[in-house]
Amino acid sequence: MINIDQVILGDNQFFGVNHMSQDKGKETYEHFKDLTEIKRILNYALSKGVKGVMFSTHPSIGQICDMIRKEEYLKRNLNFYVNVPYIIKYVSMVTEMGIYETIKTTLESQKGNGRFKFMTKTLGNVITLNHMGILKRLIDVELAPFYDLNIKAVFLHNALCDLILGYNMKNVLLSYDDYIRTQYNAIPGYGTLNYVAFANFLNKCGLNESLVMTAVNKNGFLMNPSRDKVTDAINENKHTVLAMATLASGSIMPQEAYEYIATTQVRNVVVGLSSQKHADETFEIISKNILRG
Amino acid sequence: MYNVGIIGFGKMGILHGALLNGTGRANLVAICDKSLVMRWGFKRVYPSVKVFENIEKMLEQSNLDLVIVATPTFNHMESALKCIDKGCHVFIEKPLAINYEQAETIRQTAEKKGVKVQVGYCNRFCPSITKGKQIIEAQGIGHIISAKACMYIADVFEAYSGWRYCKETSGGGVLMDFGIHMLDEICWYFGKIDSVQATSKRIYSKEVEDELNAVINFKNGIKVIFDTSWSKENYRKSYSKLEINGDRGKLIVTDQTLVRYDLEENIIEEYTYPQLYPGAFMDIGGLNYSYQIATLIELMDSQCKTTNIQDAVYDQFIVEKLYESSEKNILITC
Repeated sequence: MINIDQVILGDNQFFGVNHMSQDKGKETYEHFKDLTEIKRILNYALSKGVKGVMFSTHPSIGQICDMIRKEEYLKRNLNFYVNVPYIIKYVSMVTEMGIYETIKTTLESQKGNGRFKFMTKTLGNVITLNHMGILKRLIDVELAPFYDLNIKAVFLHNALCDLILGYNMKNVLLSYDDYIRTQYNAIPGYGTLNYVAFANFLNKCGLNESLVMTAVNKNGFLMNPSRDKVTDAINENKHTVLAMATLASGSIMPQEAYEYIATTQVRNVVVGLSSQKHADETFEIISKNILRG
Repeated sequence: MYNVGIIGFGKMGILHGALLNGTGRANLVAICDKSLVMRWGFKRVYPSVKVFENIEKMLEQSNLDLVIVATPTFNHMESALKCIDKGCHVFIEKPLAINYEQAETIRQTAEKKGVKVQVGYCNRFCPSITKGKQIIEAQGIGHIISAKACMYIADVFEAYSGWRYCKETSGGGVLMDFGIHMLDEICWYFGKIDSVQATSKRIYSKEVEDELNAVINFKNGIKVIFDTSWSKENYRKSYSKLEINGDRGKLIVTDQTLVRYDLEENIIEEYTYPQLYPGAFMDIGGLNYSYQIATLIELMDSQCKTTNIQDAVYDQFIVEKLYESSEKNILITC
């Protein structure tokens, strides 16, 4: 079992992502767009003993990280779980300019003192067609806003992990794993919507005890090929599973959702908070059902 | 095991390749892409693949059963005809071609050669949209009178210069590239069209429309108000909504949700995306893509030659009628 925070606050609610409907997502975005509100929620989470917070590298992440760096209490106490890359940004960019231009534009966006060294390294990677090098530079760009913050784990987004799985790209996975450990001294994590196949793939890569973030919920939402096959595979493997989508995007009430999680072997969860009442209720139910010791 | 080649290894090509491999029934053996970076970049991370710049060479050297054509639209016909000529089955991303004439050429050539051509209208595989079709076929809202259809995304807010925004290479703007999914959906639901009256607007793009709205009259009397835009703020992701009015109720189907009402606006049944998630062999970019690929494999297995190409050609025919109506500002009979 990999040692991570048992309860990690998710960031979807900060940015207006809701799988139930886009309309609802927009409402959530309106509610949370302001940094003061995000600060209040992070402080509230800490007051409840929740130190883990998950962030995607959304375009506004720089502002949020700047705010946290200024708040000594938050900076000292929060553990960051970063999900890279912010996939929706790249999907739009690739649609507009193609894959090559997307990579070029993203790499060129690197700012700050290390920019020259960074660009030289990148140029070297491009000339030698070292695509693993380019992937590493992209990770550097994504993680740059988190400097000086305690990055506990870096998750590779499920869309990328599942592509790597589809193409059985063992070397890419191993290279990512090694880079996150050595360069960032953090735990490499993997997102997937296909836990059964992905867990097998990790085993084949020799990564038998990895950190995997995947959907676990009573409805079987985002669980492939099926809920029961996923929970069986969780029991059979040694990976540490961080459950996401536990409320199946709000379609299951917290009580029912976490009672279900308690019946599985999963003991680490990402939670979303949409209101104070919802948050209080969620933390109480989680501590009753999920928390160890 | 089917040997698969992909022409155009961009976003959609990469997705389809991973899903095909994920079925365990197909094996990506070759890719053809004009970009050296893509070809050799992919080869570095997926060494078993053969990479080509030239389609003929790929077809000659790779013994392919199926080819995915995921190039920009202007190249679809050229690529597809080469594959069909070699007797390969083909999956072509939507839209089928830049115009009706090219689309019809692909269809006729495939028919003569006895080759199967499937077109990537993936919305038909969204669980909510499939369920909506079942409900209306079972008369769940009675006889259908009218509908409102919209499809939006927040994508274009400046004058871009890529192939998508050039009429000659794309065949059109938001309708051809994006709204055609909704057009395909309503034709799938309601059948053949009698007449259309459309207006379109360029807001940012120089050559193609950024918005198009239309009144579409179906042969069975159903009148549809149709609206599509790729310059709609607040739609971070693609959003489609079809509101259908019947004489016994109303049905609202989005790409993720479904709600059925009776005539008094009471909800009879309601599903959100999480409740309409049956799972699949693999989910990468959404279940619709997974089911689309699973269906493609079934099609490859079956003796039956019926694909959705006839419908895809028809969609293209209607697109031309919509553009004609918008240009001349008149009602066009189809």
